[in-house]
Amino acid sequence: MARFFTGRRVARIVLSLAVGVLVAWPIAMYARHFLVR
Amino acid sequence: MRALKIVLKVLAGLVIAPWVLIGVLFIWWNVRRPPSFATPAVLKHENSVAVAAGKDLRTQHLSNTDLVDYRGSLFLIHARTKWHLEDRNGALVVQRSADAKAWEEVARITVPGTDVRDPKFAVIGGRLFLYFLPNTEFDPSPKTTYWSVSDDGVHWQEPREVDGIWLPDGKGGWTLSKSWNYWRPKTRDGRTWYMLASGPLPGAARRVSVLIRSTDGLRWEMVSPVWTVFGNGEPEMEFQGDGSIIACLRCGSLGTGGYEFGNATGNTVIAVAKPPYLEWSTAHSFITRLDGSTMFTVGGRIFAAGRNHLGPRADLGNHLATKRTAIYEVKRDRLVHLFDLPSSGDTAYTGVVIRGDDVYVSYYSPPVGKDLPWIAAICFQPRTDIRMSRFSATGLLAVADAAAAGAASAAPKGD
Repeated sequence: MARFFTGRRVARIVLSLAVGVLVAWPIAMYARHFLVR
Repeated sequence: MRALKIVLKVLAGLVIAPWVLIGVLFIWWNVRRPPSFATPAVLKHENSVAVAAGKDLRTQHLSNTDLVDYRGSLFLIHARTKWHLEDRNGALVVQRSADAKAWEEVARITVPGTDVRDPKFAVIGGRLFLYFLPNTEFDPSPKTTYWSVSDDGVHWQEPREVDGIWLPDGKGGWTLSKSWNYWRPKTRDGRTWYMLASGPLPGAARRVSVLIRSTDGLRWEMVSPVWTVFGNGEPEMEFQGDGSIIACLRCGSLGTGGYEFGNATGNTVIAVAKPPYLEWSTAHSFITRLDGSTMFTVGGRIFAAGRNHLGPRADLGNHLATKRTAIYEVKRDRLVHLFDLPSSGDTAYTGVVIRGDDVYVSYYSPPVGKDLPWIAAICFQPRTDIRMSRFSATGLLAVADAAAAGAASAAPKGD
């Protein structure tokens, strides 16, 4: 487990999550209006 | 294989990077602080939320206001939709108040299955007329007008489409022209009503503005085209003391194109005509494109409440820029910016009532604790409140005098 969570791998996971949130947030804010009637 | 991986990574980066940039911008737009919106004390300016948006996604975008003093009450009308774009479940909501502080919803006006916007009141023959624009396009572009009428502001006739505008046919008769957007009727004598409308004038390249008149609020005939060189709309007018009409037209550009990211020639066309209003002289103000304006008179001087694009600027109208609702003095050759009302993002589309020394201005804005750009408030974070400003008419004249004195002292001196 300790060998899996190397510093480099953790940094990549955190970066990927941050990018995912940044990409998903505006898209979700726009798309939610198509779900309400 | 290694080269292919690099190419794929670069391509993925190119796709993702703009979205990351947009996400970062949204964070910045949500954390940056708005300006103070402090106004000179002489205005005695009070500002508050008249109708709060609430948190229901279906009805959180309150917009497009107008205001009228009718039978002793103030009537406010506004659109209520889920966002700025087409909403077929949208409605126009009429609110009533005695003091412009506590508002009571008294009527809801809809056209089934149709987006409705840009309501305008007019008291014609003692009856409260309402003109508004139905929209059938996702990116709103209304191309006709509906009307209704009430005798108490509470009970309204079923909305109907206007017949159209009667244009001179060149042979001494009249021909009916459809697809016109009416703006705000005004009268000087209580008998003949004048209004500016924008639409497809034969021979003009784009939708342009014309002056029309009526004696009953139903049959409107064209008096004259106002300005047809480039497309324009949302035309507002006011009578001046000498009987002439002064108008402000929203003009997207002087032929230079550019819409989403604005352009340097977006402007307000200021047009003036003396009776019988057949010939117009025009000037351009590049400090803003006065969207959704209301013109009004205080002390014989003409003012306007409308959208401030924070110009002049090379990208006037940029969707990524913030906007304000602002008060201007309208001169025959220019607009003079006086002060901003608390506002940001998608804002303006004002209504004005003057009672004694109090000037009431209705408009809409996202919550003013943030400084959102226009695009964010259109379809991403479209929660907007109806706000009400009240300030002193006497104070407004003092502020306008101070602005004129400041301009005079800053102007180059002759020998």
